Amino acid sequence: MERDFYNEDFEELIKEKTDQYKMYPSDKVWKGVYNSLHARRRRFVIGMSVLISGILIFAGKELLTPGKPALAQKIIEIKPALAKATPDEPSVGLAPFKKEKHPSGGRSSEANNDHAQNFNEIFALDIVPDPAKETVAIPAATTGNIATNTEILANTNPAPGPLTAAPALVAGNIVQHPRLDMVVPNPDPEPDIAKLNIAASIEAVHKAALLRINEDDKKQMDWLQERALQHLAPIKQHKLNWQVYFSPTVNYRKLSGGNYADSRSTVQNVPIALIHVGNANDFVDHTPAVGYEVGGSMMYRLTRNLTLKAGLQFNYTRYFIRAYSSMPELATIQLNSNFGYFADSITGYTNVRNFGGKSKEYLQNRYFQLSAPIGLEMRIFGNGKLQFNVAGTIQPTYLLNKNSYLLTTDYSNYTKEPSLFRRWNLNGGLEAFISYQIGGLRWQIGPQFRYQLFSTYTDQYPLKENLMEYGIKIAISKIIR
Amino acid sequence: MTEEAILIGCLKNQAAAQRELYNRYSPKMLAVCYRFAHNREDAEDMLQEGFIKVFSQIHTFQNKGAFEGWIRRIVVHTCINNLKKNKRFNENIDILHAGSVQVREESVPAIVQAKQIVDCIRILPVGYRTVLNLYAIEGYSHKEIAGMLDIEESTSRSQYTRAKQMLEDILIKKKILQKPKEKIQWVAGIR
Repeated sequence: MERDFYNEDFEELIKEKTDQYKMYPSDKVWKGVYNSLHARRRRFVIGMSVLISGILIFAGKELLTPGKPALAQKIIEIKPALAKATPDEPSVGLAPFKKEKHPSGGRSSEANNDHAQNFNEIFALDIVPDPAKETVAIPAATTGNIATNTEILANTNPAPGPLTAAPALVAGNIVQHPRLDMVVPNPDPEPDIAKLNIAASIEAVHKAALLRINEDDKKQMDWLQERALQHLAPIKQHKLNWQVYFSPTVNYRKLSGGNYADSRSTVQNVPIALIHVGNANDFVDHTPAVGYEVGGSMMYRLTRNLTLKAGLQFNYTRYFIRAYSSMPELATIQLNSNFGYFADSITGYTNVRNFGGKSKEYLQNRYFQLSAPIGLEMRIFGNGKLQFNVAGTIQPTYLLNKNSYLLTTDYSNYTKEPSLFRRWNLNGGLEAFISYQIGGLRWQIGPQFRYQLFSTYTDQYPLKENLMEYGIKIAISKIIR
Repeated sequence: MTEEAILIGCLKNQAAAQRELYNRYSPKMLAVCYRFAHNREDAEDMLQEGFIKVFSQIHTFQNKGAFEGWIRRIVVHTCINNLKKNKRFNENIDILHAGSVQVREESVPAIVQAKQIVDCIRILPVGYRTVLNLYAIEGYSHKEIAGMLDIEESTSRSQYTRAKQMLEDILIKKKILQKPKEKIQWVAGIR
């Protein structure tokens, strides 16, 4: 190709031809861009939804459907009533024990426990409040043929409250009681002679049966009084608790390092820009802001006073920055090398100034973090109801967002540089709290302090920022049975 | 979709608008990255990083200049930062190294193709290439280049002169360009 060219032509040609050139990127580039812009938020929403749903389901299950514990509590409540019963005054409700093969003594402890368990099961059936049962009264006047029965029943002294006659006795029909193995005849208002004879024979059989039952009941009660009730298995100590908590917090940061005067760097955003010498804290206008943390944990009681806990926690931490808007200008961040001096820099554009600009702007540095606190909780003093505790945790933390502001090296501007943020960090937490047991739940409230042990930024960034949170933690915990 | 609608959609973080903007500008921007990068894969990485920055900083665009120019500046800075991080920019840049670059002579089509020019630029050592890209193509001044690359302004000038000379040689050797007689004479006179 014949072409005259000199400097300007050459540059023009190069520019023209290169500007014409286009290349089409592969699909993975857009996927990468899209995932970076949207997937992080989606992951965060999904993660938080799973966490909150899990906590709510677990808490709902424990709070709304207590199940076994309530039954066990009712059984425990009935023991005093049993203890008051004398061997001479067996309750009708105790009759089922006649079928048990326990002698009045000489049982192994396992057998005793089994017996006690059966006893509880049977009682549990009868303690359910039922108006029909409570109105049980077998009227002696209405029946001639079951006079003996009523006589026997009249001699019995039913235990107070729910300890009433078995339902089968009030049914009104001749029924086979599932446990008594006895027949209870239906009173006939107009008995004839044949019926009376039959009734008389039945009466004799029943009388003998009921007398035998009565004796067996007495023996049973004796046995229970002497052995079973005093050898019931102790209440099991439950060592596992779950806890959910929420803490409104006041957040701030500790800023250190990066003294521009020490850097001996000549890099500035603009060649004639002022050099701000000194501690970064003297050149920034930051103020604390309110954040929060929410989470759940499982707690295992190691000893009477010491509890191990581990869980998952979400932190929303932020603080305010007062800055100024400006026209887009260069923002340069000098990077530390491993040897402690500036070796490289990152340059970008920003329209946020630290000093004088077009108008004031209030920015926020916001951090969304997921933590896994692991720690120990110690009871200092208190009883089962009211306690004072202290606790400490170490919290491996994952930073979910990297779009906070950084100061440029000469403190003149704020810019965003995601590559300089540390994804994984470590936090330490301290708390003291008062806890109070109400029903099956333990409520606690107290101050807490959380400190980020490593800088928010990577080692390449000259400034170090350690986040701090002061808060009031409110928590609910419950024993897992 | 108009540019304004795209801009508003991107400010609202709408994926459709972001995709539209990406489709519109990514071919040109990949070509920009390709001129700075070591290979196509690196160029795509730079492009991806650049567009992430574009979308995350789009609120800073003040609608006073060309949108493409704003995107281009971000992409170029991303390329420079990437080269710095990967230490590729810190490779030795000297004329001896440049002189050792082997240029294969081959038959070329009569029409100068953009791709051939770009390929020739990419033959240059990374330091030369970067300065040439920034000055001749992206239009930065030597002062700005010096600030971006942490070098002296005079260094930028000398690097550019050498880069241009070398590119010219390459283009001539590849028979993409032919030296004018005046220039040959001028060069001979110097020698």
